[in-house]
Amino acid sequence: MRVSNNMNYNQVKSSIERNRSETLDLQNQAATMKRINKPSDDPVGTSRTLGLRTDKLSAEQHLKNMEMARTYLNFTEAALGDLSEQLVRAKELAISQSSSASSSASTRMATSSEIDEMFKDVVGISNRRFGERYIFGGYKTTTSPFDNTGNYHGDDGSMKVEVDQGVFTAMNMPGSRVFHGKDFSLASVPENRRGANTPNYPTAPSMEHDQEQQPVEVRGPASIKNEKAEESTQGATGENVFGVLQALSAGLRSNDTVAIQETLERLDSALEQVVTLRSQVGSRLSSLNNTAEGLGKQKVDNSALLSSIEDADAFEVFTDITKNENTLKATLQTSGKLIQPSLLDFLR
Amino acid sequence: MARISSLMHLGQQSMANSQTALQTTSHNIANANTEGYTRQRVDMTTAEPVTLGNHRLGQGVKTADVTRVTNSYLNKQIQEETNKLGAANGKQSSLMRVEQIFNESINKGLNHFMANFFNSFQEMANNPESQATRALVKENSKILADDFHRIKGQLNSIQKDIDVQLHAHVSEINGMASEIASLNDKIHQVEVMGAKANDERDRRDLLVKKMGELVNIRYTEGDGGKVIITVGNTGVLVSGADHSELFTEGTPAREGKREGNFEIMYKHGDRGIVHQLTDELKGGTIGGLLEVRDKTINELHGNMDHMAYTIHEAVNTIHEAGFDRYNQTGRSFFNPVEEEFDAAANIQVNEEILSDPGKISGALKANSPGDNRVANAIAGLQARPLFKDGTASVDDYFNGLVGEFAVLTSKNNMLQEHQKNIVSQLNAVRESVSGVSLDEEVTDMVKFQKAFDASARLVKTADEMFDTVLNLKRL
Repeated sequence: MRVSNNMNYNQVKSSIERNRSETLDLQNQAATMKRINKPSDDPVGTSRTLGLRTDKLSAEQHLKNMEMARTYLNFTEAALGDLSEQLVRAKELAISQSSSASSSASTRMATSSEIDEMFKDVVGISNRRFGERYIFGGYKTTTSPFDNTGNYHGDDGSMKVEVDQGVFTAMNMPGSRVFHGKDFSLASVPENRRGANTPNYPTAPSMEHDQEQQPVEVRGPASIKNEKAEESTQGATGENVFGVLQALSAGLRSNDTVAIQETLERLDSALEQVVTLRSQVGSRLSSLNNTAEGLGKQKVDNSALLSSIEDADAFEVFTDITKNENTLKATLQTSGKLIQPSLLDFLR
Repeated sequence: MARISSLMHLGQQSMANSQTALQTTSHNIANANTEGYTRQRVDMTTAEPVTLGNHRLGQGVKTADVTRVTNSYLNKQIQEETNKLGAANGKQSSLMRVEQIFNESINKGLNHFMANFFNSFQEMANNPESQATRALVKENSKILADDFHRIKGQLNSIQKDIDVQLHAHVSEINGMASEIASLNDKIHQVEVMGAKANDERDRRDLLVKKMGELVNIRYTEGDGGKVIITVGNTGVLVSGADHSELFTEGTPAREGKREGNFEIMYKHGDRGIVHQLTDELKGGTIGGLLEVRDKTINELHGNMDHMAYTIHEAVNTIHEAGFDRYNQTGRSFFNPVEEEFDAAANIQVNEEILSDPGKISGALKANSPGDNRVANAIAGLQARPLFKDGTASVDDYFNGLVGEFAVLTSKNNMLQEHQKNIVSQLNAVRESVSGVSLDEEVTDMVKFQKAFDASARLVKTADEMFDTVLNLKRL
């Protein structure tokens, strides 16, 4: 084959150029320690890393949500614990005052005022706040849900937070259920938190439908308030804690042992109601812990996967750089030798 | 009978001939590195012999022609492949820039800001009573809208840059067209006299090749060695010694082209008829640039608009049904955007919300500061299949988009590499045929010098023979 001078030069040029550009790419990988420095380096990998980054951010947010729900539920559980202690104490007092052997009209009178104090304490518990939020007010978290006589001004709202993709946990327990026993029979059914707990949140397509279903709820704030207050007392299927305490106090004051014994039964069911709800809170908490564990693990797996997709293998990169360096040196050396001699050097 | 004077004449002609050959050799050496140069060769033939008695006596040598050593089929092939390389080059430079818009391996981009946007609604759902979580939603929404604006702005500025490049390339083509027209004229004048216009042809071939790298052309050599060059299908740019012009013009939007982007127009030289040529330009750097500008980037424009519009619509529908801290309802979260076109550039968070994040709706019910259902619903949009007929979430859509674009870019990078190799292979073949080899030229130089020396000796011998003849009398 006839070889012209330019062929020599062009070949030298292009092989050096190719080598240099490979070295540049490798150096970039070594500097960033990333295999993918721009989308076209690996289109599929890029798509996946974008997805994984979003997942990572979501997982972080879910962990935050969970932390929030956990503290909120812990606080609620403590309040329910205090409430059940009060009820146990009320029951003890009621038992001790129900028989004529250990008590008299005067002790009953004294006990009555103790129960009245207890009533105030329970109202205090029902109006507990976490930060600035009333925990038993349902959605009405900025005004005290119970007044001094134990009437409920909150609603049945359940504040749900997302703890995993599409999985929601309610972080509050509305006061209507705890203190007025609303929907208690329903509440006593063991909660299947996962999936079943997906909240009835409005969605773009079903939005109008939702509005139609609850025309009163979305309109006229005043009407909602009235209706809610009525509902919370009328729809009660469990025990009204305040009512029991009031009945007990009245029975004690009027020295009516029959009435006191009647309240004993009601106190029992009130206690059962509170304990059941407390265990519900507890089961939400433990399930949160499980989810948190899973989420934490998922986050680690996620990072590992992300790294395996986009991170450069340091060993490989440095080996390649060395290899490239050698090739470049060899190219330069042979080029230097090849370009120089020509027939002119040998014609004297 | 041979004559001494004829011997002398033969020697002189041979010397002249060697000089011509040496002249051509030195021309080759001098142009060894001239782009597009084709090595030349002196075609020598024997001079017309004479009959003397029973013999045909050779009369030495004569120079028939100085020709180029070339392969015109190869040149055509190089021109075609260079055209494809030009297209790949044109695309690569702009695709690389577009790629940086969506490069989130180092910087944070839309994917990140979108996740933050939805996550901040979850944060708000955690504590809807708080002004702080609402402020977070406000900030993240503003960043999201700004990032949509950033992407749109960068896409626009790349399109504008492509316009600038197109303008420069069009002037280049005009310059080449006028040079080719004048070369046509010169080649015709030279060749009408019988000689070969080697250097002019080299220059013209080079210009045609370069023009072909910029744009798709068709060329044919007509009578008198003049080429006719047509750009696209209808733009007759050079015809004989006449040439026409291309120019660029910013025009209103039309199908496949955005407002203000340049149209490439053809103007016929003397008659001044103007028509649009953009749609006919498919190959070469210009074709590549046009494809990126009008197809790839416009598609991205459309995709970003669709994304912004869908998000804005979905968020607003939910937000408008909700109640804010002041128990007001019906407020849109993003300012309503009328049409999808340029939605990503026009998306804007409602000013009322920007000045008071308390006006973000979180509740589905009035008077319920702890109601977080609307906030949850908006956060839930992230995973909802709002795109591609209900098969893709917003993340799927965007990530798929980036993936598709990356495939396009990496495919073009490969194509460019491939095309570069083809062109350099073909160039090597061309070099092998037409390139100057210095060793060869030096050998030729020695060869022709020796021939010259020998011819000179011939003249000297003839001279001595004359002397001998003249001295016969004296002996």
